[in-house]
Amino acid sequence: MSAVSPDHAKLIRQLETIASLSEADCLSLAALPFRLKSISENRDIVREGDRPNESCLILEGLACRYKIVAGGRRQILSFHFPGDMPDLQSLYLDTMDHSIAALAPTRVAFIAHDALNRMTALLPSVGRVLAKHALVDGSILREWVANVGRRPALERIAHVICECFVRMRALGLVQQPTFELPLTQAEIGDATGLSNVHVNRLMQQLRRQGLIATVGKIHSILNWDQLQETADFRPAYLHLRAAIAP
Amino acid sequence: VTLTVQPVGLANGDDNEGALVFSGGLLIAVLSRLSPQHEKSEGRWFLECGFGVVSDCHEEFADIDAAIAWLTSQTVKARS
Repeated sequence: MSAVSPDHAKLIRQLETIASLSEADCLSLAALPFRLKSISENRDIVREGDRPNESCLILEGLACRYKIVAGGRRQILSFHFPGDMPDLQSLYLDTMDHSIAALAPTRVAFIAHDALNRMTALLPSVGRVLAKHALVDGSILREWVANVGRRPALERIAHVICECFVRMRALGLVQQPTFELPLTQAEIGDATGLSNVHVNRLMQQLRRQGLIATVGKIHSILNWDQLQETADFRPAYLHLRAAIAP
Repeated sequence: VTLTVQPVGLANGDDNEGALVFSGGLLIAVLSRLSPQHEKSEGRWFLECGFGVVSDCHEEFADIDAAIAWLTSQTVKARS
């Protein structure tokens, strides 16, 4: 395989975490036209109510899917890392039912739906892999509903940390056992339905128990087995290929 | 609406200084004073647990007077 740009390689790497790609699949992904854009921290990439004619691919930074409920409170529904395509569903669902925002300075590629549709019509195998990526998003969402709805607060936060670590590791974004996750306590709270005060107490509890260490945005996993147990984390829902699964 | 406040110790780690807030003799809120572990929020008051109109709320307040004022306003709003 030749002439794959570093940006296209991120998409290919992400899809290879969940499926085996043929050389033809990789070549057609590598030929997708990208419209590149830098998005500032806390800016929307695509908004609820938009009718996009392109889907976004995260290339650098960190993004989240979210909804705002009455009273202006935000529920974060998922986090997205370089290589993720968080709004693939807009290929089939005309109107965005939620928003996607950058949580850090983020670089994205917008890919025209026409180009994606042409590619998948010519090469159904790559279409199936993109569909699988969107289905895994759905699986992650189901896990988050269970997490926010039924897990005790400490498990909930530990679960989010475990998931970010495993997904980022699969994408090659982790320097074991350390990874950079530029989330504020408020953002962790919005993802877990907890107040800032609770998030602060629980992060300290995880540190006191010797499970994680945190310096600014850099987190280190100190006891992975115990952290997974605390979090009730079973990574099968991420549908990672056996070669990549933890 | 007049709320009464009773200081109380809380089994709540470092945030062990608390207050019970009553309306008409009925408990409506448990507040805690945030300890230095909360850094910028140290000294602020936090609604740990509310009942009735303030159940499921976890607000933070600059001081206990602000907490009582907010609890009073919520109680008045619920009655009107």
